[in-house]
Amino acid sequence: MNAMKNSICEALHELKIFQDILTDYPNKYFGNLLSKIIDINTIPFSLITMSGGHMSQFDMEEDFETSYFRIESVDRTKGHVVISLLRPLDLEGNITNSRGHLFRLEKTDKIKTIDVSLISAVQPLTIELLKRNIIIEPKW
Amino acid sequence: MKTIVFIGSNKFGTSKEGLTIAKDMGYFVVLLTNRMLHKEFLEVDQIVYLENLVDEEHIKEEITNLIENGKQICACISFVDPYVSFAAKIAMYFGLAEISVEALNIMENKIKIREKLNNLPITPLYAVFQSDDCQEGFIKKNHIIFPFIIKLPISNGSKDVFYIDTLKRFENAVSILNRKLPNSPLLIEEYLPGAQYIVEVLVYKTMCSIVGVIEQEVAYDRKFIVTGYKFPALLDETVSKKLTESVSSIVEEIGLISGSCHLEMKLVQSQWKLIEVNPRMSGGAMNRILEEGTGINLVKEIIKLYLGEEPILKETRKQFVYARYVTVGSQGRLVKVLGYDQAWLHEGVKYVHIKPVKGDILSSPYSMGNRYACVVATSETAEQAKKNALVAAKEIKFFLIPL
Repeated sequence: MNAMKNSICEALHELKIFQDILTDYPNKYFGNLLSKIIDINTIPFSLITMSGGHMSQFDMEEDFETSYFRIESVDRTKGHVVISLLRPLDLEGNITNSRGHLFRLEKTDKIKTIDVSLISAVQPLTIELLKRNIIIEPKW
Repeated sequence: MKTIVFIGSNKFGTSKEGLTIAKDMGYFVVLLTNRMLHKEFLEVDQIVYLENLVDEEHIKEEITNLIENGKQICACISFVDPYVSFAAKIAMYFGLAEISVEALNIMENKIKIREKLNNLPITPLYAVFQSDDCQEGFIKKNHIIFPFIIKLPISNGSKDVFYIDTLKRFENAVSILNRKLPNSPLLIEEYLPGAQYIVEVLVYKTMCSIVGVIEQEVAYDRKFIVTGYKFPALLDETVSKKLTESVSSIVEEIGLISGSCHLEMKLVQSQWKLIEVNPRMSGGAMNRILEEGTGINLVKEIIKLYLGEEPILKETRKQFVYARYVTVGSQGRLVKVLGYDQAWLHEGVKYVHIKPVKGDILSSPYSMGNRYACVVATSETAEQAKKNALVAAKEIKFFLIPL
């Protein structure tokens, strides 16, 4: 595995550790207080390809494309990572491919395995994207 | 240059229309305001910013400056509380059309008006609570029965009106109102159930005309928020006749010889009761409602009255009108509004207005100011007009981020 591939693998592994801490980090006195405070189990990120663009993945079943992911597992030996797709939604709850219209991300169970040799950088995003909520009023 | 001076204006509705109509009538429009709202007032030729809009000497000075600069002041008007009688007073000082200043002044104080009309059958039971009175003692002494209404004597809208059904709520309301206007007496009135109506009135040289009677639909959640206006109100002949008599007696007793006002009346067991009287035409979409229903542009006729001309209140059409105001049930920061264009596409829709802009905080209504959109629609029947307005209003969607 070359140095770049190794670094990407390490970076994604680190992200996975952080994410696991958010999900489950029991302590002696306060138990899983951190998880309760953060109330989120995903650190969303984008992947930058060797050509400098954002990597997109397509889900045939639900017919949507996204460049936002959640890390599920890292195989440092093979240089593969398993990611799940985050559904990009605009204010109205419609799927959007425009970064300008992105309002929130929604977890899915759509899984992809990525060869990290295709990746040049990992760009973590704000966890707020998974927490954002919208109220549509009035409710008639 | 023929000029009309306006004291105060809101960003939309009756007072804003006053500016536009004055401009359309060919006048040079001057707005004296204490708000920094310049970009919203493109129809105004000259804006004069004044910190205190009831600083009589300062305003006289500003108008004198206008005269010295070649402006021929033809009228001084306000469609906004609490400047109506003040504007008429200024008009009188400059020898403009005679408007009943004293009558308008009485109408600006809810206690004064109750005392003035004390002998008329339209006056509900009322009492005045002084700031140093004890709540419990006051109730006993005045034989007050729950529920009742408490309000500030000088205020408009519903934000300073409370429905009281327990001693605890009475104490809370007194505390809130005292903080708002320390040492002010408070008006206590019997709570009157029943349908509520707005009566738009124009008086020219003692001739009292009822321009329109509008039924209000009030949503109540401890606050009285009007969400629907039906025009014309459907009243039978006897009730209608009684209303005309009641309005005439009120106008006469107040001494309104020339001027406009609107009355809020309730029909309680076939008897008219006066809830409030305000020395100006109703705000919001009222001019649109009346114009769509009758062809009368009341704002224009009021301006003519203030110019010393005879207003013409000739109906040129008869249509049923329904105005629906839109409120929200949750609090949040506005990020997007949808449905403005779609609302216009519905049958009979004559007016759509969205009040808030992106970034504003919206909340469930605690005053009339928390009504965020308005749709006015017409039809050949009252039911269809309401249906048209509701269908269109339902297109409007506010996207809020919870706070």
